[in-house]
Amino acid sequence: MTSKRHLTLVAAAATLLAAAPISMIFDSLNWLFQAIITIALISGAAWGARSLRGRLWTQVLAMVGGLLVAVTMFFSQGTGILGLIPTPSTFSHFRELFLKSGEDVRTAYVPAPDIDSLLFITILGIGLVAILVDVFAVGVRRPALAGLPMLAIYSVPVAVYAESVSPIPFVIGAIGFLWLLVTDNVDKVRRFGRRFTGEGRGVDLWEPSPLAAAGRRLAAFGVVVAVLLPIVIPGMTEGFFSRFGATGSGGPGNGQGPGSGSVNLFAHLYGELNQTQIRELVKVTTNDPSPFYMRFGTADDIQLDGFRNRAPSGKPVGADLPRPIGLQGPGITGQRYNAKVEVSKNFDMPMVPVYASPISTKGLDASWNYDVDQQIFYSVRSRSAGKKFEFDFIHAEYSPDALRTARPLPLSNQIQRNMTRVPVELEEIQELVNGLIDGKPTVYDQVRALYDYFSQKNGFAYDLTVPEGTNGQKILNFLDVKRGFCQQYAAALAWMLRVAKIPSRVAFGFTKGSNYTGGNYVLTNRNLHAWTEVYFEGFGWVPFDATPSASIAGAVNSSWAPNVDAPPENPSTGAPATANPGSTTEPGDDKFLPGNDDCPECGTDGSSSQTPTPPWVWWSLGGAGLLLILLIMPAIRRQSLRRRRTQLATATAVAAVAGGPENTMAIVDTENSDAARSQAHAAWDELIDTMVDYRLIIDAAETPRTTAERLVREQGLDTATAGVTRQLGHAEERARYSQHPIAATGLMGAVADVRKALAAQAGRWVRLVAVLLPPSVVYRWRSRATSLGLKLSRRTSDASLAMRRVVRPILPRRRLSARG
Amino acid sequence: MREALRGLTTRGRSFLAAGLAAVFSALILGEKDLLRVAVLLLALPLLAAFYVGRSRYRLACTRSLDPYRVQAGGNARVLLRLQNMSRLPTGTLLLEDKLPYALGSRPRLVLDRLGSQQASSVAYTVRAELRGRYQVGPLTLRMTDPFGLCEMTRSFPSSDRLTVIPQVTPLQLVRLAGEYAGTGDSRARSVAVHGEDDAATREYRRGDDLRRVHWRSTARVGELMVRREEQPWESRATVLLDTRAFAHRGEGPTGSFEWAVAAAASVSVHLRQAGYRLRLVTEAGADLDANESTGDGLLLDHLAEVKASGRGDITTLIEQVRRRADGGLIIAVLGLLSTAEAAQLAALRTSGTTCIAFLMDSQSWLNVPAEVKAEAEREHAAAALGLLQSGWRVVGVKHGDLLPSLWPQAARGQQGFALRAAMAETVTMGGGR
Repeated sequence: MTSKRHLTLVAAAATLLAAAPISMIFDSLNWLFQAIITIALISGAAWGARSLRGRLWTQVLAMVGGLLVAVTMFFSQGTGILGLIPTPSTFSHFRELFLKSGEDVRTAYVPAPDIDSLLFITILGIGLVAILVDVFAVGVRRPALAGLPMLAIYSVPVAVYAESVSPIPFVIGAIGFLWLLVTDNVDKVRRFGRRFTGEGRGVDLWEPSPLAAAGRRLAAFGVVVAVLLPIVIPGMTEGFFSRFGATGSGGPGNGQGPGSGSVNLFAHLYGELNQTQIRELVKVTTNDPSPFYMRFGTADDIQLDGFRNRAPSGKPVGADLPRPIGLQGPGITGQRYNAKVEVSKNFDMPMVPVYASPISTKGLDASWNYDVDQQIFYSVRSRSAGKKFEFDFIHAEYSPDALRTARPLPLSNQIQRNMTRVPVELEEIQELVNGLIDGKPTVYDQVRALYDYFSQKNGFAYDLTVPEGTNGQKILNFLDVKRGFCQQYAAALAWMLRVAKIPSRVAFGFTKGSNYTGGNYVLTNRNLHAWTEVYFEGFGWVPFDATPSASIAGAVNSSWAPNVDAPPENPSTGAPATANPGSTTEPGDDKFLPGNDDCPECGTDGSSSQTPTPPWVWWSLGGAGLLLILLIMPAIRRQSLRRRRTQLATATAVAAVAGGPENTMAIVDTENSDAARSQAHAAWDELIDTMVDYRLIIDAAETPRTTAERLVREQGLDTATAGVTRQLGHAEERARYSQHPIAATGLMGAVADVRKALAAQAGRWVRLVAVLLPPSVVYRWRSRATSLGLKLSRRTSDASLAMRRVVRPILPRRRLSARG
Repeated sequence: MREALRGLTTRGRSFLAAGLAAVFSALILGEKDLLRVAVLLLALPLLAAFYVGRSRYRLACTRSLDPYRVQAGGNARVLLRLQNMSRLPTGTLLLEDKLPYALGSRPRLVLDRLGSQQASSVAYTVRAELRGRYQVGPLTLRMTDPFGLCEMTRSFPSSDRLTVIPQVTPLQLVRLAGEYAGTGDSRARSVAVHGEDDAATREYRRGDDLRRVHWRSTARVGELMVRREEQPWESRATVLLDTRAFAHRGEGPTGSFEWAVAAAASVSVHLRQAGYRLRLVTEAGADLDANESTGDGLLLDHLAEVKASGRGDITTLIEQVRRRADGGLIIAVLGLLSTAEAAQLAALRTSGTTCIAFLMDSQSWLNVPAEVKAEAEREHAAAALGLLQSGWRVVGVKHGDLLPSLWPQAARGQQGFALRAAMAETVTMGGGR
């Protein structure tokens, strides 16, 4: 019974540990407090039922009762009796909460605030998991099954976050699960029979088992492996399906995960803009006379490493789409238009481009979902390549005066909370923003102040060669050097708006492009674009494109976001031109395109950097290089040895020539004899090394003459080579044994002749090895290494002996006890 | 390691399967987070297998039984001594000694940890209610990992035997005098035929009476020799056990055969303690001696596992006894006898020997109708009479009789003698109670 009690406690603790991944869902720890109390109530009920020796079903009933009490306590809002016992109205309230939670799950951003309905389903879920874990682990003694409900908890953040989640909650949950397993098995082992130790002593039940210690070690190791191994495995950011589904477009566009949230749209944008070749991506036909940009993605989540697109969530597309707010109202003119889109094979993404505020679609199957908040179509299963569809949309125009009426959002508003978040507070930006918006009364004026800042007057210019990146430091750099392209402009404006506490995000899509006739637009990779969207209360998301429109082909300026670089009288003329707000800057096309083509190095630069090389490639390349260097070390050594000997030989040859007038063979006088000797020795050593290299037998006992004779005889050298070989042998013989060595020039040449002759006779493999891994060097190194090792081991053994000699008299007792 | 992998439990195999499935789905879905789970699920059984099979333990196990021979109903202590011969300390070992069910439940022990070159011993007791020879062991050894994913079972080949002898009840020391006990101390003795070849003289020892010096031998041998006047006497007894299955009734420990075996064992032990040289003869062909050199172990061992033989015949028993004419006391524990068999058996008695028969009325071990019972009693009386007539002492045994209370009757020879003298037609059985 005590073991069951213990197991109940462990099951409760393990459930709590396994609930750790929930911490990534909520931004406060309220849920944890409630979860602890819920789990405590449930396992307390289980404990009580077990103490009363209730059957399994009574235990389950007790636990369900505990869960009910806990849920009533937290969420009944006074409908329960004493706040603990649920009443029918409590249940109807629960039902409301449950239904509402479905909506909240879709709309809430992670990490979510403590919304009652979300907390309700979380606590309910954790409670159910606690019941299941308890039943599996204690009731039916199958703790391994308890891993399934625990895994269900873990899958919540995994499903919510498109990118990889932090391993820490996984580690905590895994530890909980393993703890449960170890406890169960150790308990089983304890109950197997009478315990005794190696000393033959009986062991009481409560004493810790060494098995548990081993379990801790193994569990730690297993968890570490489980965390590290997926990190080590490279390129696990997408599944096989997407890999197979990707066309070989070569761009980074084929690296998207199925969740579409894992696409780094900025990287994609940068890569595509820097492509040297122009590829047609989308053809669109619309009856809108002056359409705005097409959009296919947003980035509204700023992390430390920059802007990210949040995983979209929505419902499968139907005939009618939910309408975003802000399409009707004073100061808004919304016109309904139709557009037909034909996506080429080169645009292979899990989303399709549409104009803003689509209201109905045709031609997209149910695998496509529509996220009304981000206003994008995305799919988990399908890809955009080759899609043909049409849709109706509302082209909304906003008058600046109407926008001025928009008030700031209340701080509690979700959009206000989520869309003004920045990961780091940067003082420089804060100061800049404060200076710009100072004295601007309305939100719109503040936005305009920030928007207008990105003008040529302030020194901003378009530059595609700026390296990409949208983190805080990169944006600071951009604001400093004022050179960048749409990515920097959009991100910087969005960041600054957020600093000014105005909800903003970055949208991705296409400009109108430069190639259009009537309502037909052909959009290429050069037309990809990013711009900023600002949220106005009552108006919804309003686009602001801070990028210098002169540099963008097909840029559109609107009445509420006019071209800041236009001459000063232009805004005044642009203001009354609200009837025709889409004033396309035509000259920009001519300006932009040649400018880009004239810059081939930026194109190549882009194409080289558009496939970001993962670090392991560098590591492996470096390793391979190092290995190669190590491998050719013997060859280099052999070459240097030969060169040194040749130098020696020639230097002495000069001396010899100076000493004696004969040039081929001369008996030199004693002064030069030493030089002649070393010359002969060098040549002879080289010959011997050459023989070793070509796997010829070397006999140290042979005289040089017999060696030379043997070489001639066994290798069957032709007469000329035989002659020089004999000459080499003679020179060495004289150098060794005679008082008068002969000074001969061209000994090294003779050696080279012999080497050539030997190489001609040797097999290809022997030749190759003689050059690349010359055995003479290898053998020498090996013997040197062996002798070094021997010396080292002798040294260490001497040292240890000396040590022992010193230590033994000092510590006689310890030695005795160690032996005993 | 491979062996350990084969030893994966269902849980371990499930983990492996789930891990593989998770790896595939993680690769297909591109979820690194799922891959973590998959790697954990895969790593755990492998780690467990590594933990269990990381080294080949060399363990030595010796088992000693104390005592090796135990009476039915008695306790025996089994001492297990385990020694770790390898350099690594062992993990937790689950030990289970194999025992036949008659010795009770299998002892299970958990050895927490055994250091290198360390030895540990642990003892447990067994209690056997039934006689027989039981195999104790072999010891099986299970190693398990902390998660219960892998389990390896090894067993030591050695096993020991525990002999459970029939229950020996101490008997009252009575004088089993010869029938004609009138002349003093003629205990059932006979001349030792198998003593050392002793000449009538022996060398002089200090203290011998000089008057007993045998001068003639002294002259021949050259040292003082004395006459020997005493002869080595020894008490001999032959215990007959009737193992014919049809002579007994009842099954198992409550059957009459068990009573007979227990009685034979008790009598044997009692006689051995009284200094008799004992011979046990069973109808199944066993003929065992218990003397100073062999002790009563062999005899008791035989009694521990003696079984009733289906096709026994009283004549083989008689032949078996006659094969070696030892003389001396004969004590027979007999089942049902027909009159003819009784007559054959009666012929075993030669004059001067004491023959005691514990004649069991085996039928009384069963619950039978009154007329069958009466018939059985009649037959029993007739057989008893047959034996009595040829000079046996007959002690009737009924179900429920205890040997210690019957034993004194064996000493009472006069009853049979008087009866024979009177040539009475009937005897009263089970007297003295």
